[in-house]
Amino acid sequence: MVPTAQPAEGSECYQHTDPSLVGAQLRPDGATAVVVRPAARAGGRAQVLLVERATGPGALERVLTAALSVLAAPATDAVPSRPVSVVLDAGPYLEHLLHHAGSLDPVAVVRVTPRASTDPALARHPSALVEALVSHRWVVPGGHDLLGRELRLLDRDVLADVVETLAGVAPRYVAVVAAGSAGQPAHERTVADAVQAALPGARISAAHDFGGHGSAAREATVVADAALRGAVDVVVDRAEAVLRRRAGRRGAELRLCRGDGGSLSAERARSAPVLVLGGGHGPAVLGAALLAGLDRCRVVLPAVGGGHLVGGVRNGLALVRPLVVGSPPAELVVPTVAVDRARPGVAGDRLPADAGSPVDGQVPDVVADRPLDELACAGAALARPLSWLDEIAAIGSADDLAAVQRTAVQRATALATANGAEPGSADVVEVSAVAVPYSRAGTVRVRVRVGGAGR
Amino acid sequence: MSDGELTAADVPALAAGALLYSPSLAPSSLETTVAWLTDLLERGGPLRVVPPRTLPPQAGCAAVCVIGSGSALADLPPTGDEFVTAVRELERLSGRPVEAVLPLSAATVSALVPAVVASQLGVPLLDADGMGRTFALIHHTAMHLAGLPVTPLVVAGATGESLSLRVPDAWRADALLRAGIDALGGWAALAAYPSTAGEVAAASLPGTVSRLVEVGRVLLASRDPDTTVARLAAVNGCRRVGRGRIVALEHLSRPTDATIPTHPSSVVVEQMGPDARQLRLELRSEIVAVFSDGALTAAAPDLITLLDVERGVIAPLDSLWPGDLVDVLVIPAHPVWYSAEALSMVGPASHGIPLDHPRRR
Repeated sequence: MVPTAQPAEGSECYQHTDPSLVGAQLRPDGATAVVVRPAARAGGRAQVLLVERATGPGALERVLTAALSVLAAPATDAVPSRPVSVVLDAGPYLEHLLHHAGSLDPVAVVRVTPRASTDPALARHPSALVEALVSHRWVVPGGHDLLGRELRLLDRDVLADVVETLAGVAPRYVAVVAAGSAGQPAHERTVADAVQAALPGARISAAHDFGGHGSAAREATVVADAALRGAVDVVVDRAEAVLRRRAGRRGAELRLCRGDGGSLSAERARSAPVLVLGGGHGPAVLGAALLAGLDRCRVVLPAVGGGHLVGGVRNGLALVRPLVVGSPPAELVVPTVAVDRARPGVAGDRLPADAGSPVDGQVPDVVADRPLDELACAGAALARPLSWLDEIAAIGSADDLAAVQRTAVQRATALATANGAEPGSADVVEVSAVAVPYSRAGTVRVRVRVGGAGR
Repeated sequence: MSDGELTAADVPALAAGALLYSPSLAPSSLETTVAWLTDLLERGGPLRVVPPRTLPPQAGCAAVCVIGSGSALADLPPTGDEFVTAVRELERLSGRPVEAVLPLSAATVSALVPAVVASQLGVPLLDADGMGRTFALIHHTAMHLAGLPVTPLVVAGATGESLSLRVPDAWRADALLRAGIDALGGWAALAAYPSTAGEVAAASLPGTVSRLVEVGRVLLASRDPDTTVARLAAVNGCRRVGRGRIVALEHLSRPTDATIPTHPSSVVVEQMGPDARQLRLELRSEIVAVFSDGALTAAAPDLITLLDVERGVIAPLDSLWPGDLVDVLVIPAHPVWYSAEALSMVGPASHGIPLDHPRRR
C-alpha cells in the first residue's frame, strides 16, 4: 500500500460522507486500485489518497479489498453514507485475451447479406485477429442498404436450415450482423430471435445494438463482444464478490470503464462487453488531466519502449476515435480514447506550440508524472457515464437536420442513463454531422456523445 | 511497385495514396477491399502495371470504378464477382474482349478495384486513369474531353443485379444511373469507356497509378506533417494553404442541384498564429473550394485535402469533428483540367460558385 496523500484529520473520507471514489485496473499481470477524492470545485484538482498494487492470482481481489478497507467503515444512522463508487478498467486484460483466442470461447457468426461471397477473402473477416475468434460462419440472404431500404427479402428457408445446423453445433456465443442493420434491424432481429429460440442458452450479440457503419467494423464488434461475454462475466463476478464482502453497511456500486474514458454499469458491461475494450491509456489521459485540474488540455504519457504518447481532453472528456485492435488493424464501431505517438521533435516534456492551440488561446500540456496504472485508475474512478451514437440519416432541409440531431441526442441520453447516469444529469458533450460523400443528397453521418453524472 | 509490377506489399502504399487523391472516406472503409486485393495478389502473384502505349494499339480496354458511395460499399461489401460481371457484360455489348483495364478515377476505393478485376481477369492494369483524382460524374474524364464515348456501360451490384446503358449524350449517364445505384444498395461496380489501348494512350492521364504508390510511400514514411507536405510538394506540387482548427460544420450551405451527388456543406477553419485568417471550405463529395477571409484561394479541379496535424494522416471528410487541427493542402490537377471546356465541367461554377478559377485570373 502506498499512501500518496494524507487525508486531513476529520476529512470527509474518514467521516464516510466524502464522495471518495475507487478506481481499479485489471491487467494480465496484475491489478492496481486507487482511492481518489474528486475536486471540491470546478477547476480544482482531484487527489489520489491511496495506491494499491498486486500481481499474480487474486490481484484484483487484493487491491479492491485494500481500497475498500479505507472507505467502507460502517455508516452511522446520523450520517448516512452513499455507496462507495468503484470503477474498474478491465480493458488491458480483455484486450490481452482477444490476442489469445484460445483463452476465449469461440464464436459462431451469421451474416445477413443479399448474396454469399464468391471469393474466399471476402467470406472471412479481413482481420486475422477477428477471424481467429470465429469457429463457424453462415450466410442468410437478406439485408438492407445504409438508409434501411430492403435489398432482398429475408430467405426464411435458408434461415431455417442455418438454425437447424446451428442447433447441431450448439455454440455458446453467436454474433449476428446484417447488411444495413444500423438503419433497419428487422432482418437481424428475426435471425437473432430464431437462433435464440433454437438455442435458448446461447448468448447472442447483434450488430444493431452498437450502431456505426462498415460491415467489417460492425462484424468485428459483435465477434469481439460475443467472445468476451464469458470473460467479462468472470471479471464482474470477481469484483462484485469483493464488494459484497468488503463494502460493509455502506455498500458499493461497481461500474466498468468504457474504452472512451466514460463508464457504464456492471449490468450493461455484462450485456455489451465490447464497450469495455480499449481501456488502459484512455483512462490514464483522463486521470492525468483531472489530477491537474484541467478539463481542456493535451496529455503527454510515456510510451512503452521510449518516446511519448499524446492524447487530448475537451469539455472534461478525452477525445475519441473508433477502437482499433490487432495488426493489421481491425476497426470496431465502438469509441476509444485517441492516443497517438507524439510527433518527432517532441522533447519529452513539451509539444510544438502550434499543435495544441485552440482558437481562443493555448491548450496547456499535462506531462504525466505518475505511473500509468495509477493515472488510469484515477481516470477510471472519475469517469462519467457516457454514451456514443454514430448513425446515418437522410435530411431534406436544415430543419430536418435539427430534428435528426434532436432525436439522436434523445437516444444517446437514454443510453447514458442506461449506462449509469443520474436521470436528468446527462448533457450533450459533442455533436458532429457530416455529409456522406458520393451519396444521395441529404445523406448525413451524425455522431453524438452524451455524458452524465454517476448515480 | 517496381519493374511494372504491383505486389501485395505495395497495397498499403496504393491505398494510402488513393486516400490522398480523394479524402472522402476513412481508411477503415477500404479495409475489406484492401484485404481482398492483398489476398488476390498473394494467391495470383504480382499484377502487371503498364503504360497504355506498351500494348498493341487495338487491344481492348475498359475503365472500371466503384460508382456511388464508398460508405455504402463499406457497409455492403462486394461478394467478389461484381466487377468481372460488369466487364464481361461490357465485352458482350461492345463486341470487343477486354485485354486491359484502367481506373476511371485513380483515387479512393476506385483506385483499388481496377487492380482487383485485373487480377481476377488475368489482364494488365494500365498505369493511367481518367480523372487523376475523383470528380462527381462519370463523364468528368480526360477520355470524354478527348471524345471517347462513356457508353455502352454496365453496372453490377452486390445484389446480383446489373444494368446496362447507352446514351448519346455522356452527361445523361449519371442522371439515368442514379436511381439504379440507389436500388442496388448505394454502390455498384462500373465498367465503361470500351476502347482500344491506342485510344486510351491518347486520351487518358498517364502514370497516375504508379503515382499513387509513390505518394502513398511518402504518407506512410512520416507522421510529421511538415515533413509530409515538403515531400509531397516534390512529388505532386502540394502546398499548404493554412493550418487551423475546425470550428464549424455546416450543411445545405449552398443551393442544392440534383445533378451532383451529396448536398453542399461547409467547414470553417480558424487559422493559427498572429495573422490568422478564417478558411471556409466548400464541400460536395470532395472539397471544391477554399475561401481565405472571403477570397477564393483554391478551387476544383485543384485537389484540396486535409491533413490531421496531430496524427500526421489524411483527415477523411466523413469523420471531421469541430476542434480537429488540420493543414489545408492544395495539389494542382493535371493541366487538362484547366482548359475553359474542362473548367465549365468541373470548375467552381459547376458547384454553384460563379467565380473565376484562381489559376485563370
